[in-house]
Amino acid sequence: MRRYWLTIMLGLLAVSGISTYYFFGSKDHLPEFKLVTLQGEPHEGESLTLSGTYGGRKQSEFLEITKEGSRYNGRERNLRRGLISKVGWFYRDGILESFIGEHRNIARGKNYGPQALINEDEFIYAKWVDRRSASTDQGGTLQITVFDRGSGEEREFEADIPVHPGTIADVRRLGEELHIVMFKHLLLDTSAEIYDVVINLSTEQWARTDKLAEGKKMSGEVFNSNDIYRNEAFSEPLSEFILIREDKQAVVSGSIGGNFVSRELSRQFYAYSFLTGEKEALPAFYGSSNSFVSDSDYYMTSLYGNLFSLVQFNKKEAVVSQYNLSSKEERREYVTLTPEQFGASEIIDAIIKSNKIYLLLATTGAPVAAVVHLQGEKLLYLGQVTYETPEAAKTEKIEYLRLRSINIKGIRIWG
Amino acid sequence: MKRYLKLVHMEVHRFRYLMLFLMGVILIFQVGAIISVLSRELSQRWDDPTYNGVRSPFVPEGMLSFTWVISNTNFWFAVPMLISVAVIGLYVFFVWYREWLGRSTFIYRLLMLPGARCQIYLAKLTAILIFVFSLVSYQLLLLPLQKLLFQMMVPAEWRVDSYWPEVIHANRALDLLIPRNIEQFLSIYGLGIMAVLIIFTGILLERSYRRIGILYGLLYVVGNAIVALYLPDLLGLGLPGTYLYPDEIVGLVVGVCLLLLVLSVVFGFRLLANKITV
Amino acid sequence: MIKVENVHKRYGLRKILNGVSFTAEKGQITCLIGINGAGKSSLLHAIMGLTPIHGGHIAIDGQPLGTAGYERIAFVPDHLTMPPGMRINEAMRFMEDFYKGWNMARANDLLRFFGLESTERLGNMSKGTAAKFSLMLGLGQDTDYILMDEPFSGIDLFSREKITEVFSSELIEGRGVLFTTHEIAEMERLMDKAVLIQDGKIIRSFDCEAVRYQEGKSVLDVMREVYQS
Repeated sequence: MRRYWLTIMLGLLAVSGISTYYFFGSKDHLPEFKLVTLQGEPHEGESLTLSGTYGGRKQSEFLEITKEGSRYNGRERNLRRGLISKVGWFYRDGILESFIGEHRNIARGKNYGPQALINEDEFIYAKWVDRRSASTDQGGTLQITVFDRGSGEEREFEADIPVHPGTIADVRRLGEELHIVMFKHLLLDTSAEIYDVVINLSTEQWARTDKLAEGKKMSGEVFNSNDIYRNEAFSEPLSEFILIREDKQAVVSGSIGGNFVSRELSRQFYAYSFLTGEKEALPAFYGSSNSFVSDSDYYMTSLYGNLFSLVQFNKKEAVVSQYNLSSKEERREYVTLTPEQFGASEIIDAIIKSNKIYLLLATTGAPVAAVVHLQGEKLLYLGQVTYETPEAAKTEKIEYLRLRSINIKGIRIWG
Repeated sequence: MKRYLKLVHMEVHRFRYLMLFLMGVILIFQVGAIISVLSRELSQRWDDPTYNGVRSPFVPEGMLSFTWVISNTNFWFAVPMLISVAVIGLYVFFVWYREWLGRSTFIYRLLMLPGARCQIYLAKLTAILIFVFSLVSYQLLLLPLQKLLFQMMVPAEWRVDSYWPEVIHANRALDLLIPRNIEQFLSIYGLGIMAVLIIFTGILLERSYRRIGILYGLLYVVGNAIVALYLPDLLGLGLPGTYLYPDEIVGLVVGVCLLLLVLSVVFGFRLLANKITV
Repeated sequence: MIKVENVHKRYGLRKILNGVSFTAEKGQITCLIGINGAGKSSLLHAIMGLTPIHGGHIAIDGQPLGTAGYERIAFVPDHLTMPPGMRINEAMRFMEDFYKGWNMARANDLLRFFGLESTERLGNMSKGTAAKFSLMLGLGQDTDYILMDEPFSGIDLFSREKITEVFSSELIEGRGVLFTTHEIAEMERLMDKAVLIQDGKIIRSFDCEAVRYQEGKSVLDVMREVYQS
């Protein structure tokens, strides 16, 4: 046995050092936080996620804080999570993710948000199963899945489309008509054409294709680009309208047709009605996003049903404007919120969802989060970040917590 | 079992001087760097009364932490680790090829040992694992000793304490070597073990078929590497509308990697038993 | 008995052993004779499982070699097979660790007989000393058979005499010995059986005593007849 002392020693060293560290030494002693309700309805704070960093260490740690507690990214970073998180951007929000969790087999192969429609009653998914692009036959076949969440019935059918207009960007239902909005990119130097492919859900046949936006050839230094502005999330009442966004951009470097960098010169929104087929421009104010943005000023937008909302905010105030696509009623800058209203010193971040504004505010102590309804400007919720255990306050400092953004269910709603 | 353990000991014994060398290099580089960094900082404080000391975020002004020391010795921690990785990486090949090299071909004796030849394969693998994990543990055990050195050099009134994960995270090389959570540790080192097994079998292929064996061995290693690295993409991870969910893809990838691992071992055993030639 | 039956082996496209068949009995000294490149070493390696064969069968006492076979058959190659940094006593301890049939007392006797120093490093040995050491390792095992590949190759006269002594001692008695050599004249009187191999084929296999008695020929005579015809 003595002869083998070296091997025994190295073997023991190999096991003991690593296991001692991971079992006893790897506790990072980072403070745990949670969001507690100060005022209002606790359920309004349930979907809030506050993100930022915690200092107090050589390197700041990224974390997220919710009602349940805090989650430090560094603790959980590993290969498996890194691989799984690659698909997070498909979902648009937690509704689709949660549907997939409940109905794994129904949703198999149907996880791309822009191709899905989902609400309390049904889940509808559209995808191309055959895209024919030979010069004489430019059609394609769409596969439509309709799942009734109440009865659990699923039906799937294919509809032949005489000309396939391109990539599916949005799906919505109006009565028995399924409107599938698509982008068609013809060439690198032409802006996308936008189409509405209408499928009749009763006959399961293609009904018609309407063009929503023309593709324009890009050349020189200035060009147009088209996009759609989607409803903010699946579960909100879908509008009969779709917002089309036409941007004018200027080439900063490179050249059109190859790799290039551009900046936005102007933006114009158009509301297209699926019911009437009419396309109307929104007031130019809602497209002047460039003017909203500076080093200290930001903006967020949201489409909730027929209400298009815009919040411009900086550290001192958040100003809300709304435009009703149906009634054409505009309320420009009708609400101004200041941090002092919530006992805070500055606004850190703001988003709009479900006709509410969510604010992340800094105070002299712990940050607070506020939820205000945009109809009536009622304060629905006020919450504050606190330590999970009071002992943490003895060794840590709340000033080290620097929250930067507020989100709903972890998915950022972009403007 | 006894024969296998004796073979393991023999392999460890043959590597002992290299092991000592690596441990010595790690100790000298790291302790030297710590002493150098601290000496420079402390002498500035002693010599210049107006000097306020280093400014670290979230550390009271003028105070020194062991974390700061480790973060300022990135290079000198990384160098011995790179040397160790290179030495062990080369040794993965050398542990086999040296049995055929030179005047004394030990492979004769190894292949003529009573008992299953797979014990030779397993003993070499075990030895490599012992080297790797004992060096990692050695590094972990050095840290408290280095902290003790820091405490001996820096007066108490200039010191603040640090937590171990913070210390490790402050140094890029340490952070790679000792991941923060055990799952990541098992993932990284599990992939490393898989790589060693694939290389072992590639070597045995070459040793069994000689000239054409070089091609077989290379194809085997490259083929396995491609499967392991690109399988997630091949299964559609990150693409919208894929039939498999990400957790299923990850599960499949893990399953396939384990399968490749087992196949490599079994294939290696068979080559050693039936195809290897002196 | 070591039975080699229709064994084929090739390296790439080159046939090294081409249907080799012969036997080596226990209690007999059998010599494999052939010019360089005839396939003698390859045949010994094949019997010892050190290289795969591509056809035929090899059996030791009716059974394939197997993992336990190395307790029954020892091999003395023509070069060292221990790490050069090892000392003789370490090598002997290695053999004791791994071979149940290792006889340390006999090994120490052989050590003294060959005049070897137990603390000598293997890498520092001369060819003659290495040959004696290799033979000591082979004979130190209690095996039924012992194979030797060129035990006299490149060694001096005095070392050769020592090794030849071993062949006629009780250490060999009762064992089956199969060896290869070019020193036919010296070893002729010790062999019981000669197997002539050329281009991977057995061309003649005979009882040496019987040939001497019946034909009045030495092994060398037979060799000349066969290879020059």
